[in-house]
Amino acid sequence: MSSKKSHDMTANEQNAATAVAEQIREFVSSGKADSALAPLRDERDSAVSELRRAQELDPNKLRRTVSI
Amino acid sequence: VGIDVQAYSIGAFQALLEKYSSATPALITKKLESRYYEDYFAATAVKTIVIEEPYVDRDYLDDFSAYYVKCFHEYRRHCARLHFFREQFDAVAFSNCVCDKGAPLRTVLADSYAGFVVVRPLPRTIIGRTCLMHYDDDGGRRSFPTAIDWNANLFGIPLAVTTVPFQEQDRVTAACATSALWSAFQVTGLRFQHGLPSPVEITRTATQRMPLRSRALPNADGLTIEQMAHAISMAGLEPYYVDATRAAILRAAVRAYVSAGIPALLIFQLTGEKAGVREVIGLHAATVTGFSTPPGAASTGQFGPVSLRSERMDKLYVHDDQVGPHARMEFLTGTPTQMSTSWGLGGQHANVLARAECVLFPLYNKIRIPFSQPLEDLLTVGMVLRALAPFTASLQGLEWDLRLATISQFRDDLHSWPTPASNDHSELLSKNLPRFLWVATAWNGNARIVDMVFDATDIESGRYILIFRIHDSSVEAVLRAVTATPSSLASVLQSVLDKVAT
Repeated sequence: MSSKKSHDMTANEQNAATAVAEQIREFVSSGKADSALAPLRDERDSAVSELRRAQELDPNKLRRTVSI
Repeated sequence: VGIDVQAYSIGAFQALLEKYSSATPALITKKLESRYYEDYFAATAVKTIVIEEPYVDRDYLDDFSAYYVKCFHEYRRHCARLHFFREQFDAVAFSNCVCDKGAPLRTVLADSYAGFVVVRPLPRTIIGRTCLMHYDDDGGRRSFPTAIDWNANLFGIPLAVTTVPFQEQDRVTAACATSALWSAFQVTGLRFQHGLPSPVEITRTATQRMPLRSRALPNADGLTIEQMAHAISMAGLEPYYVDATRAAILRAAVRAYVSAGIPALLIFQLTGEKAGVREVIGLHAATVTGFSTPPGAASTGQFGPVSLRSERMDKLYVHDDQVGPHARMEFLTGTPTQMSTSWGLGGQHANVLARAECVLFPLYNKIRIPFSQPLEDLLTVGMVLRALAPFTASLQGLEWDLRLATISQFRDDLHSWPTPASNDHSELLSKNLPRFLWVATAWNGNARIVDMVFDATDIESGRYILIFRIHDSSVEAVLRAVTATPSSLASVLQSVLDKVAT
């Protein structure tokens, strides 16, 4: 990861980053992160399955004639 | 000089088609009944037609020498070419302009050129090579990335139009599949430097190793999807197949590839109403030249946990040889993918609908990573960012956009990226990059939040993410905190970060 300001943080930004880090630790340790991720992971996995299926070649379909 | 110049009207166009083809007035009237050309010329504000006749058309001449010349009936080998302009002028002014290289009208002609239509001297399928300007972009809603600059020379006057060549199938050397391939090859030939096969060459090549059940010429049976893929291979390109029955996947694939100027071959089943009963008409092919993406809020996330910009795509523009160039096909709701068409007006069927079956992309061999791979990684990162949305407003309502880009397109686009701390983009502009890249961008309104740039020429198991750039400092703070805290979120994110090239 790289950011436009990764090497140029102000004191305020440092404080904000520290506060965010604390909030994320709480988010993870309380189990809320896993709860938030679970349904999204299901949606993601379902979309990935559909995507992979869409690229499978079906010989019967490929032999259909396009003739209008 | 005996040059024919006429004020444009649909009647004048119809009369010229009658004059230079062998079609009956009744057939031409029926052909124009759909009002497609009338509406198209009105939308592009055409005012004048200049006729170039006789005109030697390379594709028709190839078809003529391969087929028509051996007919007992004596078909003409020359065509006529009708040039369209968006300014009014008469024959005297035009003739003076032809003779005077410094005439001011030459600039007017160049600026107002809307393209040309070749009229074939045939009894039914009379629209030959057609290079007409596409619709305007309507403030960015319409996009025609496949269009190429096409030069024409009219009696010594150089003209150019940005277009995708189109022609109607003649049902002898080409059915719809061949015509769709022909249009696509006109673009890929220029972009990827391969030869430009004529319709009869495409049909012959496609059927050479995979014969049809019946004869190839006349090509009444069209081509199978497999033969279309074979024709792409024989042109020196790689056919890439995507099932299009799910609209979200069709939209994502079209946005991904067509954005880089690669035309798509859309294959769809047509159904229409006859005596109040909907029936199957058959399988048809058209070349996707562009799309419409209306402005608006981020899409609703119909594909996985993210919102894709492609979800806002409401229309495709296709070269449909039974309708005309840049014909609209609007996405309708429902699954499998249903689309409206401009078919059936004046034909046997009413309310003709298209059900998308699959799409073929003719790809240059170095475009190896399919769009699905960066899309899977985008879905993973998007999923993590959505879970983290409560921590910063920058992550709320993100919309992702995935598209293929050449290195030139990418470098051009870099100038619209937020300025980095180093105050310029020289590091990325001078970075050694491959010719083809996948670019995934997360937008929050007009603000770029994240960009991921993938090497499209790499192997699938490679560390193919070349750039992972977070433009927003609050998002970066959140992600740094996540990666520093062992959790399922961190490990999911790390699975993508492990693909970043070192």
